[in-house]
Amino acid sequence: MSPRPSSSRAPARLRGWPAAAAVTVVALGGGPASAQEADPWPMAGRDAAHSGTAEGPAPPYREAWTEAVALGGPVTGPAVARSALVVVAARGVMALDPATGEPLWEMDRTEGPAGPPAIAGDLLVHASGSGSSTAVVARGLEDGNEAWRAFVDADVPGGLVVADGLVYAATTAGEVVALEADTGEERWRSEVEGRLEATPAVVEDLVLVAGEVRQTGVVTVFALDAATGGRPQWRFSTPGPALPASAPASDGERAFVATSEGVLRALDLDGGGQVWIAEIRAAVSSRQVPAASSPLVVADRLHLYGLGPGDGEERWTFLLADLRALPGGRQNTLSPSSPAVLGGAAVIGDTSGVLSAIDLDTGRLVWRSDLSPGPLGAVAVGDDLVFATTLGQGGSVIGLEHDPDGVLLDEPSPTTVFPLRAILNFVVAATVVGAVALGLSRLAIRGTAASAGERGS
Amino acid sequence: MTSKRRRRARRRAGRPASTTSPEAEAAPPSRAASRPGAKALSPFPPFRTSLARGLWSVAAAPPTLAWTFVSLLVTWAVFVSLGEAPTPSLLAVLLSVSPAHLLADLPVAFGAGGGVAILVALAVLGLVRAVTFGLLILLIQGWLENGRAELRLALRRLPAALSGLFTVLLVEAAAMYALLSVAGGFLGPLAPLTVVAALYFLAFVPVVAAVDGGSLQQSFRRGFRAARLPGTSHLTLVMAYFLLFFYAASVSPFGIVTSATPGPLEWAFALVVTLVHAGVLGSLVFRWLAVRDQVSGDLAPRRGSS
Repeated sequence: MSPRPSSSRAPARLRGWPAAAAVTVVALGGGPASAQEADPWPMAGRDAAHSGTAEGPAPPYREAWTEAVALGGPVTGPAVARSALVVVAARGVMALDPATGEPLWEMDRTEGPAGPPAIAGDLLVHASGSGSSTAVVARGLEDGNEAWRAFVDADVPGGLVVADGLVYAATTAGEVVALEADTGEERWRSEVEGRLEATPAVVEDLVLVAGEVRQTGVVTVFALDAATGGRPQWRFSTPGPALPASAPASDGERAFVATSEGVLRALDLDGGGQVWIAEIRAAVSSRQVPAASSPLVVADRLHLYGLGPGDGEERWTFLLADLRALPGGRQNTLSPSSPAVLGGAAVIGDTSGVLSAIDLDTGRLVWRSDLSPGPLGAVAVGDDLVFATTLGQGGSVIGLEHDPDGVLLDEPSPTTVFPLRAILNFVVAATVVGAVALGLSRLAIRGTAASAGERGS
Repeated sequence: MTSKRRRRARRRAGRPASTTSPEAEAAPPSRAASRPGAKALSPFPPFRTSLARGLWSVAAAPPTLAWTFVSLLVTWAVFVSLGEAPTPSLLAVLLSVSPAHLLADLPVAFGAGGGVAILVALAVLGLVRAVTFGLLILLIQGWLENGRAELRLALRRLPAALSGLFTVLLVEAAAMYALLSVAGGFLGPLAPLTVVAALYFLAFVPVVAAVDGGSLQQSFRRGFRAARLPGTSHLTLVMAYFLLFFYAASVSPFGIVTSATPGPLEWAFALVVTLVHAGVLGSLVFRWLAVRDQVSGDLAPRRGSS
């Protein structure tokens, strides 16, 4: 049995000062609020650098509340402020009370691709519309009223990121647009090669995006200097076809990006050189955001990995999805979900509606719950609750709290081989198949002998 | 000989008879076939007879059956120790006939690391294959020639066959790697089709090495020679086996992602498919025994004349 994770262990897991410092810096840089007032999960990946790490309740969990989301259902995971949890739906935006799930307000949104919204002080920003009419819309967090609207001219399928008073949107036209969080005024716009499908990351004035060139399949990670109007500082291209790529994430020293040729790379933030490379076993989705925690927690379509951020050494892997067919022609994957690191565990949902928690130390499953038949989006964390979102029509937001009476599991990954069990299973199968094969061959010999005898007589 | 008569002659030759030796099953050299312009008659026993005798030689002999199963378990264990826990699909093709088995071995060896690690993995896999295939071929040969699969006799003959077979398998691995690398460049996703060519030319070579021993050059020469004997019989067997191989590799009743520890049903599925692989190997042994004298006889004068 693995040691029971406790909520107080979460921040202590950030071993080594660089990672801890980076998380603190990005948490502070995520908005104008002070450290004490920082919102618990204001954007995709928790902060601009995507640490994916928050103080929060430890597993096991139980359902505290569930609130259905109308307006076509949620399209992505939520952003969580102290006063409101905001979720973007297909045709609108809805705010809930994070403590009780009570709806606070809901507003219409023009349909179009959207990633997780972001919270900038007392404003909420989200994408609205599609194609050339796509806009970033800011609303008052308290009442949902529109504060400003800035057109970005192309789809924004990834999440919005807020850092140092700027809102960053990455478009499928290959543009990164930086907007003033207060006014929506465009500060700068920078074009890179390829489509930008994933949420950008921002760390130390560098905006990290992963450009995907459909014709060649090559993924290029760009580091744009926010201080000089988005001028590229460095770029790193995959040697061959590698799309789609995950969102980039950073621990303050390195940029991490997973690509679908089965590789996770750490790139030096200073010059973009490859620091290390680690193998992952399946393709990734551009909706997935790695958690640049310690260990670095990364998901592909099927597995969740815990790796050393300094050397990329695999500490554990857990196979969570099995590609089985689901209603509506879907397959069970982790594609729309991103992990959240809290309470000594990494929590992630799959498209069959199962939310799982993996112990960060042992890599074993410590909790699992079948929350809904629908796919789960990225997990977010509040002060005392974990939030899972069921995507699509009829979807909902589910608040989960620590269950003091719950029992922790201690299950190994299905990728673990148990030799003795395998041999026992083999013996059983070999006995049955062997007996059948021998029996059939004896029957065949008798049959042949009989027919030969008839021919002879 | 008219085509009707030829078909009748083939049917006669193809009649299953457990007491008949493989040499007796082979079609006699035809005068018509030697006429210029005449369609050559295959000297191999017919497809159905070969397959039936091959399957029979494995399923009806308890030592052969047991060794087939143990070979699967041993190969699985080696794969796991090299860091690759086979999925049910991989498990089903783990004991496929050489050189198709290299489609399973090469990725595992190259996934073991770089440089020396790859060579060590290839050597380990080569040794395991030499032992498993070698003993299996010798057991099958014993059953086909004497009507008994004697484990003790096969084990006595194994050391002599082992070094030749090991070298053959290593050369095959290098050839397959080169073939797949080159073919991958211009055939793209169709590169596995080159396995048909490899199977066609190389399928007899390990059988020759295990049954007759001899030098590496002799094994390859005789194996090639047997493959290129007149008629389409060998090609038919290879094509049918190729289709089975890819069917087994692509169709698994257990889903795409499964536990790394195989359950009884997964083992049972793999064992049944492995029996078919061993049966096809048995067919190749049966066919080699049927044409061995002819191939060796053809080669002898050539050697003498050169």
